[in-house]
Amino acid sequence: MGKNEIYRIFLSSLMILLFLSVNAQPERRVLSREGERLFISYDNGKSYSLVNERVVTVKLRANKTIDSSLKILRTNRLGYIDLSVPEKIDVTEFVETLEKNAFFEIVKYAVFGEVCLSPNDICFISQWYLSNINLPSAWNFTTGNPNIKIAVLDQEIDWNHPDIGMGNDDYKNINSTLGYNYKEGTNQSVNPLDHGTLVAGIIGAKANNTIGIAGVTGGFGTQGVTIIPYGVGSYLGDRYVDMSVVDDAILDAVDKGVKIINMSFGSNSSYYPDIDAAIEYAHNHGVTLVAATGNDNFSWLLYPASNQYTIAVGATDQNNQRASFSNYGVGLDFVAPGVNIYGTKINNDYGSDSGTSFAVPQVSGVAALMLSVNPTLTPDNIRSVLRSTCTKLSGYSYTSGWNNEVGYGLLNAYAAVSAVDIGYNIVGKAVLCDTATYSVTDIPAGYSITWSVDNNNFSVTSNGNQCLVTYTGIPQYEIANLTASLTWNGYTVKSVSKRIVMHGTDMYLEGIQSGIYDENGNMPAVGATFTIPANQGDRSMAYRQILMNRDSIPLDTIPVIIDDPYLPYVPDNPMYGITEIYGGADIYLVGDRLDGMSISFSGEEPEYLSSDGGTVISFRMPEVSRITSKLGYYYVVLHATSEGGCHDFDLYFKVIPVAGEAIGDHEISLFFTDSSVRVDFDAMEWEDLPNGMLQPIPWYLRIIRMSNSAQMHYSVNTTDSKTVDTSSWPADIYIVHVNSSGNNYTKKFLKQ
Amino acid sequence: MNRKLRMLMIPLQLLIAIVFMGCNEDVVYESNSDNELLEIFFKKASNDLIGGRMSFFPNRTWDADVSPLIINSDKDFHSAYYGKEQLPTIDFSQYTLIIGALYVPASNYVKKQELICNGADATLNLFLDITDQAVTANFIHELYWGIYPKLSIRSIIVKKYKNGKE
Repeated sequence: MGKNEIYRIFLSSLMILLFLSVNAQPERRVLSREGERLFISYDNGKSYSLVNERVVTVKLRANKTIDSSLKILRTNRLGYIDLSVPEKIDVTEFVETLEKNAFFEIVKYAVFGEVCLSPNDICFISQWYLSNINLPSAWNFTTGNPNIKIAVLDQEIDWNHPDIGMGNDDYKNINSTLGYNYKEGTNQSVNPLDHGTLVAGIIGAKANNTIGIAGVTGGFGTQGVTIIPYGVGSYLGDRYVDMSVVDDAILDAVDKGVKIINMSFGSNSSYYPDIDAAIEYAHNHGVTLVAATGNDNFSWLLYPASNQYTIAVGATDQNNQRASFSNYGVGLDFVAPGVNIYGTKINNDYGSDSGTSFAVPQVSGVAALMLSVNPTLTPDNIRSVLRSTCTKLSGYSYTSGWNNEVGYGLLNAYAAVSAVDIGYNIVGKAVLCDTATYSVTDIPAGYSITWSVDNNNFSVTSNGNQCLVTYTGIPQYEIANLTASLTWNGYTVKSVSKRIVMHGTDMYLEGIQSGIYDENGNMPAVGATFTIPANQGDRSMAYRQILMNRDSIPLDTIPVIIDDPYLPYVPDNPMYGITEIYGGADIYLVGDRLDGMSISFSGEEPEYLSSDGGTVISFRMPEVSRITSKLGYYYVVLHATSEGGCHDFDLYFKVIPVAGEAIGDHEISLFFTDSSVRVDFDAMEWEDLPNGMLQPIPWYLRIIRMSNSAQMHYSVNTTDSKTVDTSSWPADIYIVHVNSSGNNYTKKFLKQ
Repeated sequence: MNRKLRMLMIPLQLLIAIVFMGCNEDVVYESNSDNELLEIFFKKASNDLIGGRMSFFPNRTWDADVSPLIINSDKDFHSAYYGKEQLPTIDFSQYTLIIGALYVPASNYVKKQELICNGADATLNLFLDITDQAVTANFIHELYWGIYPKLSIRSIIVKKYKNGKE
């Protein structure tokens, strides 16, 4: 029974366990293949990522153990386990089988590339609308800056709700003392209602606080945006807004330094000159105003959405179509989800509601995210970018990018925030040679840079957009994070860090050196002497020989068969990957603490090669059978560099066809009884004669020594089995050619 | 004292005379709501419904209409009410109270309602209008209520009309 069959039986066994009701919950995802690569996209807005097709990450449920037939590549202290996908088992089949098994709490594809923030709020899964506006990806830029204030003009808010106000986490995303409750003549919330509480929660419910929901700009276990509540309810009833105080609230918000005003209400009347004047005043003072178009399926917008300075927001449903009730028409800017919007309700509760009211705070929240990464944006900047980055919805035709029902399309948080993010990087050496200069470029006017380093053995001297880092400790291998913080108006807008490395003068690759590592990744002690085990060629054992840091390849290097192309991750290893390549497998090389890697091939070229231009290279060498004409050692040299230029690393790989392995389809048996003494060959074939007798067919044996391929080392024509005495042959790789009945077969063997 | 007197006057204020228990076919009844105390009570109850409190229909589906209740006794009235206010007095020996809720935009309100009897059943036509006032841009449960002559109907079909269309 082959290994693959065993794995398939194991997978079948897992399927039988389906009756166990508690399964790992699979994420909704779409897998797609482009050329040689597998990509994955998740419903929650995560971007496409390259999937490592031979690795799956799992986490076991409590008191469960992993089946011994599964091969563990690595584990971490948090209980995550990387499993090797069994040979010839499709990764999707493997994942789906594991997901259906109750032993696993989490089953995930292993991906290279960007991973979005995913908050732990227990009801985050109910917030479908956040994915539709591509918000989780935007959180990679920012989750909100408390210096950005949003005024919510609405009913009274339940700001004691622990997901908005002060809870067990001792912080809140609302500043009630700055606002005012016009209805009650106080800054207290006397009669909190669901509408205002839901609007506030959509904007700024605390994210990643384990409870409830995640607000659009609710931080991530830290304070997000600051909400300032203005109670503009009317004595007429809970649904009504007192328009006579709206202008006062707007002007007060401007005075309080608010940058965004959320107005989830509307009036069929449009004659409000006092509010018009206040809106224009706010706009001219750098305040972005957002309002709801209304819910009567009118082909016109309610006021104040109809005001020219106000961003008018309509609603869509779960299918990204205009909600049947959403008002539309001239003046509509764009749409955001407004049907079945889940969020915070009064009395520490949660629930759903519908209406353009709840599309508006999503826009206000995204505008706050934009200001969090770029606080100098004007209201016109924000409106223009929000419009231009909208997702065009299917089923609607656009004229000059605009449609009567959905405006410029659906709000796209990621596109909007990424469009205004001040992208900058620290430029400088990754590896420090005692001192190094670092700089940032493309910083807009009005911002300044503050430099810092998190290791006391490094000092930093700031000089505007440049700094000088000096290593002040005793030379040794040491890591520090250099941070350049972008500041504006007295607070930090964002920070970018770069890991810098100091190597000792006698540079030495910590934690690893040339040597033999067993299949469990166990490393020898530094300086130890290694003996290659006698059974190194045994396929039941997998050994890897790592040659690093310009080591030459020893002359007595003996081929080692590698079953599994993946090395265990070694945290302090500058590079990890494999050193010997078994053709036909995808190889991933990941550089650590390096600034770049390049790869060159000697002899055989790869079938497939891809590089991200940085520190990830993947390639695949041809199947062994396709390189038999050039048997031997093929060195693949990975050249990994650091910007510091202090040290370069070379990692050598050998492409080694497998000794003793049959090559191609043939009927020849070839026995390596002991390659150091003799080799037995049997290529006998028999021909059927008319008289019913069998007649042996002549066959020809030729053996060439790899290091002297110009000369025939041994040859014989025979009809019998043949044993060749190799005891006096020099150690080398020998290539065996057999011709029988006009068919050519080739093998090779190693003479030790 | 005045309030009690006014509550006692409810029957007199109603112009529709009750001569039998039942529901004449095709008779159109208009709700009599000409009572200030009832108006105040149900306005408060309506706000409760909108505001997320639970004076009526606490187990309603959040995004659907609420089928009307046909209330013919104090006991039924008390059972239907979950609020803290004192219930107004209604002479259920002569009148039937019908209350329900529509899931509509907050801009909508029930301007007029009429009950058309059909023997044991009835059709309740609700005519919606849109307020000129500024309102929150969400959907609400709009509470409607009506006092009708004592009816022995079993069920009610609700029809909504907005801008003259059903």
